[in-house]
Amino acid sequence: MAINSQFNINEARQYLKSRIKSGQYEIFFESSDILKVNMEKEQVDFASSGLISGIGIRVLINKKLGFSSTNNIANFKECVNNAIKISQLNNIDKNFNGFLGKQKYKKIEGYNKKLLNYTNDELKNYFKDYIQNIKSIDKEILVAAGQYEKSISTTRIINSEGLDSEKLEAGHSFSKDLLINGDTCYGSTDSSRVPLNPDKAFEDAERLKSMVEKSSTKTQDAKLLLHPEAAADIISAFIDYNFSGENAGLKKSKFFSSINKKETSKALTIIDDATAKGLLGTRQFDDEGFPSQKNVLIKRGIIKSFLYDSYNAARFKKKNTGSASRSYASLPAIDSSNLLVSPGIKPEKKLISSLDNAIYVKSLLGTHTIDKASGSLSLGVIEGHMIKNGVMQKAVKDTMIAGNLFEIFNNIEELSKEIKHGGSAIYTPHILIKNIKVIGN
Amino acid sequence: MQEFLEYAEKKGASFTELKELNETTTIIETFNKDVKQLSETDNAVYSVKVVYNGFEGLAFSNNKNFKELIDRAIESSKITNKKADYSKINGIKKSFKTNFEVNPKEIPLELKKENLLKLNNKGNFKKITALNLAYADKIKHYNITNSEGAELEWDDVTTGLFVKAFAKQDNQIENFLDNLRLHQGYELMDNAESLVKNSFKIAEALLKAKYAKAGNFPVICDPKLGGTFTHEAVGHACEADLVLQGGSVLKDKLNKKIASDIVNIADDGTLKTNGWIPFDDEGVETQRTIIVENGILKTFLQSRATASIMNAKPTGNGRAQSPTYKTIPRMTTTIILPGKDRFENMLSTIKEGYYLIDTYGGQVDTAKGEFLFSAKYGYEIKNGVLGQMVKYPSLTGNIIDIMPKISMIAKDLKFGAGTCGKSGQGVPVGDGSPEFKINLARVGGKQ
Repeated sequence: MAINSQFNINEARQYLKSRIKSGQYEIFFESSDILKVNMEKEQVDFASSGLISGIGIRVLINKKLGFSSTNNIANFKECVNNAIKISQLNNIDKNFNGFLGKQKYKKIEGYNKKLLNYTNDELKNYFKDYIQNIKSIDKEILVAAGQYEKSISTTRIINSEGLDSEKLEAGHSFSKDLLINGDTCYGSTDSSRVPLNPDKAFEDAERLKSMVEKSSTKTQDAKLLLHPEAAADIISAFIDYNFSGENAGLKKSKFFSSINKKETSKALTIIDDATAKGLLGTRQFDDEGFPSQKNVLIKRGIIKSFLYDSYNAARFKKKNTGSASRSYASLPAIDSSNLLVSPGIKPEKKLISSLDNAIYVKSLLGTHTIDKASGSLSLGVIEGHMIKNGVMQKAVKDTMIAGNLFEIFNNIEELSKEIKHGGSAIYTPHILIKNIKVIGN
Repeated sequence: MQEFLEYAEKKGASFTELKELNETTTIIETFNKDVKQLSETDNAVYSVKVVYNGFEGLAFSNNKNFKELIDRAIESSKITNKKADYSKINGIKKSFKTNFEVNPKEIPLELKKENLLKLNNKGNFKKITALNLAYADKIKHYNITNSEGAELEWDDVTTGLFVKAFAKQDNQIENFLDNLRLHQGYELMDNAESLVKNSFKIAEALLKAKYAKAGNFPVICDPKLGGTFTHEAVGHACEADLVLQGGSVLKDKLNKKIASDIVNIADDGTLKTNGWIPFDDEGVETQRTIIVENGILKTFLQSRATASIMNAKPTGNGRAQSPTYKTIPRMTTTIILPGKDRFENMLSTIKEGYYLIDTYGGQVDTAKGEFLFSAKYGYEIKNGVLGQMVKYPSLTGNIIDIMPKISMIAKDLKFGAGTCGKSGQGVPVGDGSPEFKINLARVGGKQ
């Protein structure tokens, strides 16, 4: 539902101008068409469809920032009044330079037409085909639970400095829990900007079946092969905290004084790229209207850049990297877009078959407990297998891995050739780590 | 609203439910003398649930356009393929209003901010280095109208304060968190100063506290830890949807003894704690549901859908985070009912044990019955007397094993506030208990 049909922009601009004689303003409008579907024991028991829009208004008056938001859009004048009232009560912020002026954008799309036109019948067929594919592998597998969510949203950012930009984003995801024998469970989430492929069911079923027979592990040192899903989890914990320009500026990041210094293995190159075609984090501009760009974070082990939104770029006298993220109800914060890990040369099958005395981890528990300052970690292995003489053994049970996040990234031996979608907006190959402590019985 | 119910009926809906939720929220956060966050937001959501051709569909929007929502909900129902089945209830027409003394909306934002900053007075607490405060008030108007004749309305106010105090001595830093959240007006802030001073006191005391000894000991739980224990260890396992999914260790234990004779547990939506709701999100008026009576498991907590499957009565526990979510069995205020004992008598029965106080939360596996809580702090009990303070002791065990070991329950019930998370939905809850003694429990510590 377009902004124009909900309130008059010119009226809003006039009102803001009349209330703020010398100052700046920003109107952030967001409208989302949402579909949520719940599945239990292979039946869809709940479907909810909605249209939610809201505005967030920021004002900068005498160097004081004020913010208010509402989804009662016809009542925008009160939202403006609130934002102004709040700015009067706030402290002066010397850091904030103001909002962006008019920008030039490359043609980048955060949506795919196929998903914009995705019908409820297509969705029902997807569920039917997914379940059918599961049963074709083994009739005893139950799709115990599933949560599907689709969101198509329009964002428009208008400010007093000449910016007026609009973008469309569309994506969906399906999180499912498979169950076999009443006690072996496998959970996974598929997310994409294009219609989901029900053939993923074949891989899901095989992975569930590979977890039925489990064996204990001995406590030992071993090589660690991270499947893209487990790798994405670890990368997220590593990048989010340490590559935030705010954390770097405040000296909270481990790498705050490491620009152009080698801090990880030479094999590692990670890029934050919102311009990459068709990926989940792809967008034309960030949530302040700054054009999307490619940001090299780590190049062959060397720290190259942190991520900034406009506030922190001004605060720490760095360049804006187009990394502002927000909703209409929140203030901008730094967040990565697509994180792309550069691949290696060896095909993953060859990599696996070349290993002996390694633990192949596909899914981890507890990455949120990793100590941010020291990097110390102790994580549960939900899905993992020891590899002996190039062959995957039974799934491990009651097993943890312990070590240090920074040491992990300094001990990368090699990466596989194939890049896979690891989860959220992280795309990575398999990653082989020299050494990790496996804690078994 | 009648015209919309008629419109839906004409379109073929056999059941229609319309909801309106309006919330105005003020949040102020401070860290020492700095204001970290200052916001006032105003949000509304309107939703429609229909049963069409036997299937349920939901639609929602921030725009009050019920006809469009009805059309959308009918479309949603075509994706559903499990027949909707709710327990029959009679629609109730009732209005509820939260009582308050001072309307938060009548206190200017400037004054709220100043009052919060005034609390940043460390006084004689020389070891306190920082104070983080978050204040929030919310005015809510919620109504449900449905084709069964229900017309329920609630004008509500909640006010809350969150406190985090930091203490430092040499290189050691300790912190203590506490909160107060009730369906009350700004008068809640009359308790702010004592809440802050108590947090300073405990934070400083933690600097001198030692860790608990790991092992099996008799334990006395304070009301806040006791309340959370009841909610996590027993309450969740009694939610009918978990029972039906096979995910509850209590699923086959109806009418069986699961606790000692003196244990009585209830979930009560009428108690005016943080978990108070006059009616649940399906239009069922709330009540006190006795879950455990004299140690025997009497009932599960039901939504209308689970009640229908189990041939039970709805208990007023059908809740959703907001009108845009699916309604599932959730707790309201979960309590252990008062007993006959006294705390002093409990102490005198313990040669070596612990008195554990409050909790930052824990984890429960309802299928296996295993739980772990970290208490905020506690005291050693030696020969019937409270001794040294211990910090972050944990309490672990299995529900089936621990419940029969509750041997003494005190008389005075006290409550705590929290937010319960389940299936991606958070709802406000309350819990509480008197002090109670567990004969033998596994305490975790670093000693």
